[in-house]
Parts: sequence; C-alpha cells; structure tokens
Amino acid sequence: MMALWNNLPGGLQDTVFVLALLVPAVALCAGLWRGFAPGPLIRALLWRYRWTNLGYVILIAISIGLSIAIVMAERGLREGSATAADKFDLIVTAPGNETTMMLATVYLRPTAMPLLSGDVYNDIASAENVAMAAPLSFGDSVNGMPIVGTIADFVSHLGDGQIQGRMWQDEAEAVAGALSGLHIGDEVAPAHGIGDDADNDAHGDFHIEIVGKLPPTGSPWDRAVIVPIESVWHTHGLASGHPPDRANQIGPPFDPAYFPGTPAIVVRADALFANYALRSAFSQSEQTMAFFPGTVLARLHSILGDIRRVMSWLTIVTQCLVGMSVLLGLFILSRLFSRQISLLRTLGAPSRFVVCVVWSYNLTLVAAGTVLGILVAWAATAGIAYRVSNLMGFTITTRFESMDFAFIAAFLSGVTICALLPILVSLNATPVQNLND
Amino acid sequence: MSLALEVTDLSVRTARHKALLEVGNLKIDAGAAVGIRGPSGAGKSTLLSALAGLTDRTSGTIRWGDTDILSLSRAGRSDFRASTIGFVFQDHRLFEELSPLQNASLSLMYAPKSERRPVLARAGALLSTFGVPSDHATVAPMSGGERQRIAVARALTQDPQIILADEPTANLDRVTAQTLGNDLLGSVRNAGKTLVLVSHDDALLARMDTILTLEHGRLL
Ligand SMILES: Nc1ncnc2c1ncn2[C@@H]1O[C@H](COP(=O)(O)OP(=O)(O)OP(=O)(O)O)[C@@H](O)[C@H]1O
Ligand SMILES: [Mg+2]
Repeated sequence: MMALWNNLPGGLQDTVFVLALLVPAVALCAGLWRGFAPGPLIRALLWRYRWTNLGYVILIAISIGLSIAIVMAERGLREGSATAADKFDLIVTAPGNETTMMLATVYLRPTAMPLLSGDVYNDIASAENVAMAAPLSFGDSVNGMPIVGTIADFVSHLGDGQIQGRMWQDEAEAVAGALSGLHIGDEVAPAHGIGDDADNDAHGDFHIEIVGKLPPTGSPWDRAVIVPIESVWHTHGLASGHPPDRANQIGPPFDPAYFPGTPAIVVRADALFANYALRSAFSQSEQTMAFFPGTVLARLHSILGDIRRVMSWLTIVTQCLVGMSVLLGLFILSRLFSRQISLLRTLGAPSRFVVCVVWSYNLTLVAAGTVLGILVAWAATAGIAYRVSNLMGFTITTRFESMDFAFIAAFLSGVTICALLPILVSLNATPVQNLND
Repeated sequence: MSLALEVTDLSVRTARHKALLEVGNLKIDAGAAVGIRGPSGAGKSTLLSALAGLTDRTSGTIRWGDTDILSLSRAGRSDFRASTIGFVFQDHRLFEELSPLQNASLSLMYAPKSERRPVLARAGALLSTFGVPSDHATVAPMSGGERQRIAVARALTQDPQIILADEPTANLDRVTAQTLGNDLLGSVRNAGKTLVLVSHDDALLARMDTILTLEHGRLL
C-alpha cells in the first residue's frame, strides 16, 4: 500500500491528498441527501435571502482570498528573487557588504561601489577554470532605466543565446531588456546618473542605437539598456580599456594600463565544482571579495522565513477567527430559518431532512465563498506581483501550489462539519415554541 | 382505515407552570367529524397542537388508535405526524418562496421515491378541485383565501387518517367558505378520516357529528 502510494507521481499524490481532505464533507453531504429531494426548497431559500447571502459569500471570499494571497505573494517574492539571480553564478567585488553588492549587481540598485583594477580583472579572467569574467559598469540611465556596461558574452549568457536582432558591433550600439519598452532601431541619449538626479545633457549629443533585444529573464535586467563597457567608459571621458592602436576594439582582452576599473565582475566557471575553488581563490586577496548571490539570497530568505513562521502563526489565528465568524454567521443564518425549520418539523419532516436543507444552504454559501476566494487570492497576488515587479524590477510568480488547495479543502471540510453544530442547536428549539413566537 | 381518539388527564402548561389546557376525558370515534368552538384565547389551537404532539410540558395520554403519542420520542412523533396527521394551521404556514404546487406537495421532498409521483398527482388534483390559480411561481403574492385552500390541500395530499384543521374557512367569503367546507368534509367522509375542526363558522359547525365547546382551557 505504502509502496503503491510512493510510486504515484507527485502531482497525483497531491491531488489525492486534496481530494482526501474533501472526503468528510462529501460523505456528510451524501449521507444527508440520501433518499431526499430538497433541491427546490434550498434554491428557494437561497433566492429569498439573496442579498444577505451575497454579502456573506463576499465576506468569506475576501477573508479566505487574502490569507492565501499573503502566502502566495511571499512565495512568489522568494522564487522571483531567486530566478533573478540565476544567471549570476559568482560575483567578485571589492570587499564590502555582500548584500549591498548583490543588490547593486543583480538587482541594479544604484550604489556607490569601489572599483577593481585592470590587473585584478586580468588575474580573474585568466584564472584556471574561468569560462567568462564579465566586468560591469553602472551610472547612466535612459528614461529612468539603468544603462549597464559589460561584455557581449555576458549578454548572450543572460539571454541564453536567444537575442532578437543582433549583438552590438561598436560602442554606439546597445541591447535592450525585454521590458524596457525600447525597440530595435530606437535611438536613445544616455543621461548621466539615474533617477531624479539624472542629468540629460552631461553626455552631449552622444546617441545609442538599439540593435538587439533580450528575451525576458525575470530580473531587473529586463528593464535595463545594456551597452559595451567601453561605451560607458568613453562617455565618462575615461580610457577605453584598450591601447591607442586598438582604441576601437570592443570586448576583452583589456589592457590593465588603460583599464578604468570595474565595480563588479560576474564570473562563470567552466564546471560546477570549480565555482567553490574560484570563490575561495578570489576571496583570499585583500582587494577582492567573492560570493554566490544564491547563498546571500538564501540568507535573506531565511530571515524572510523567520518572518514567515511568525506570519503563518498569524495566518492560523486569522483563519481560526475567519472560521469562527463563518460559524457565527451560519448560526445567525440558521436563526433566520427557525420558522421554516419549525414548520418542517411540524409537518413531520424527518430531522435528517431539516438538517439536510439548512446544511446544504450553508455549504452552498461557504463553497461559493471559497471558490470566489480563490479568485480573490489570484487577483490580490497578481496585484501585489505587479506592484512589486515595478518596484523591485524582478518578476514575481503568481501560481497556486497543491498546499494552497489542501488548505482550501481543509477549510471547506472543517467549516462544513462544524456547521452541523448551529443546525443541531436550532433543531432542538421545539416546533411549538417557535410556532407561538 | 381510520383512527379513534382517546384523551385522558391531558394537561398543557406554560414555561411558568400556568395551565393552558386541562382535559380530563375526551373520546372521538374513528371516522367522526368533531367541531370545536369557544371564545378567542380559550385554548382551541393549543388543543389541536397537543393532539398532533406539538406541545411541550404536556402530561396525560393522547391515544390515536393504539398509539399514545405522548409516549413517543420526538422523532417518533414527527414520523407519526408525517404518516398519519394532516394539519391545517390557523395562519396557513406556507413556504412563501415555493409555488402552490410545491407547497401542497412538500412532503415529496422527504417521502420515499416510489411515493413522489402519487403525491404530486394528488396535490395537483386537490389544487384544481379547490380552484387555486396554478400560474403563480410563488405563493407570496397570493390572497389569504388562496393560501387557506393551498394549506388544506397540503394537509390532504398525504392522504392521512386524521385531519386537524384550525379555522380553515376563517379568511373566506361565504360562498368560498361553503365550497371549501364541502370539499374538506367530502374528502374526509368519503375516506372515513377522523376530523377535528376548530371554527367560529356556525354553518360549518352545524355539519359536524359533534360540537365541543372550550372555555378557559376546559371542555364544557
Ligand atoms: N407557549 C405559550 N406560552 C404562554 N401562553 C401561551 C402559549 N401558547 C398559547 N398561550 C396562551 O394560551 C391561550 C390559548 O391560546 P390558543 O391559541 O390556544 O387560543 P385559541 O382558542 O386558539 O384562540 P383564537 O380563537 O384567538 O385562535 C392564550 O391566552 C395564549 O396567549
Ligand atoms: Mg387559535
């Protein structure tokens, strides 16, 4: 039996688990309905109190929706930030705060960073097992989007080789991120600085033409304009990275004597195992620090995880409150029915029939609220994802996991079973007491 | 098939132990039609409720045929009502949100599957006999007299052996009242049902086998 279960594919296991959580509610429903035909009466009652019912359904939908949305948004944030850092295997910067350096390079947060020299760059680029060492350069912007200088190899790596259009050929050409809003053939003038301080005239009438476009990467680089690093150096009146006789060269190798410096180098090893050796090698010098963005993120996420644990307690407490108010609501709704209940009992309808009518009525409301709640959760997460994506630059995923459905199924089962309680209490109010009310 | 009634030492009290009804002894033959009259507040509705096993704080015996309904459990009394008693309430007690036919055939919702068709057919036939307009989606807009007739139809639909009717013609004009009285008495007498009927309508009471008078909770 256990072996059979373990052999099921994961998706099927999850589905079975969710369905199993619904079994009590379904069994209760089947037991209550057996041999009865209460449909017209339930429909008529639902219609009669439609506005009360609607308000109640919306209340359930919002409270369920928001508590799922919080979980989904936190998960989306975690996954989205990790996806954004995917292409940055190992980052080398001057010693400092790893988190700050990571935010500056992966998430393109404007930050003043100390520079690494040409010698340092060459040592790294020529180290054993290094497949790619991409210097980065920041500082300018177009329409509020950062301009990032680097080498062609890194752009190909970011786009998995799927660049639309072509790679740049000289320093007046650029590749735009997928969400930059720029198109191939557009010409843009770089502004010095980024954000409110950007100076549109500092670089004279230097123009950059967009010749290629990256596919979406889910990272803030989607909203960046990527240019040859020589272009950034040039517009700031710095050396070109190459000796005068090769002044028009684009890309490595660079000559240390003409290398203006880079705040960060993204390193890719030719084999996975080599990454760790490279990290320790580049961390030994006093001039450099090397780190895996994934590790730094994991550390941030563990803080987030601690917050999540606190939040999940809060979620459980809120869920209990929601469950209790749902039950209280059902109690009040059942009181609404006391006349109908007593009438049915007076006519001789079996108790199970009365319970069946009121319970099915309740179940309809709770189920409708829950289904609507899933929509609310999806909409709320999409809204949060949209805002955060604009704010942080990376894409936040909006998707349900089987745990969400398990949670919903457990809630539905729990509430429908607990809903029997107020009904049984109402049932015990004797017919004649209510008849004489 | 019909049932005789034998009541002994029946007493119904309020929650504050005030006596609402004291009936030492009452016998009704199987298949008889008995009228009950008395001033307002005398306890007529209370007596009918007690006879259907609907009152609390009730002592004594109420024997329908061989069954003492006061010795039955709550569920047992409910079953007994469903199978044996048709009750017409003073204030109709219809489901406002259901149609006339659905109201009159309400019991089919919890009756065994095999009985659903006959119940529906009987309800339809009774409503057309009573001249109830059938084009209403719900009974909410219907007049008091129309509701009264639906309530009587509902009581007769299950073909019960006992009919307890609380002022079934109270809201009707003379002609309609007389027609309904005829229909009710007709179906009771034909099938030999036992009828206990509360009324202020002397014409209707005059057609009963026996008339009892209730005052201050006691039979005179
Ligand atoms: N549950 C109760 N608690 C207290 N008093 C009650 C209760 N039910 C009925 N009564 C009282 O018992 C008395 C008899 O009521 P009942 O409804 O039987 O009168 P009735 O003879 O049917 O009057 P009417 O002709 O107006 O319908 C009334 O005074 C009423 O107020
Ligand atoms: Mg009365």
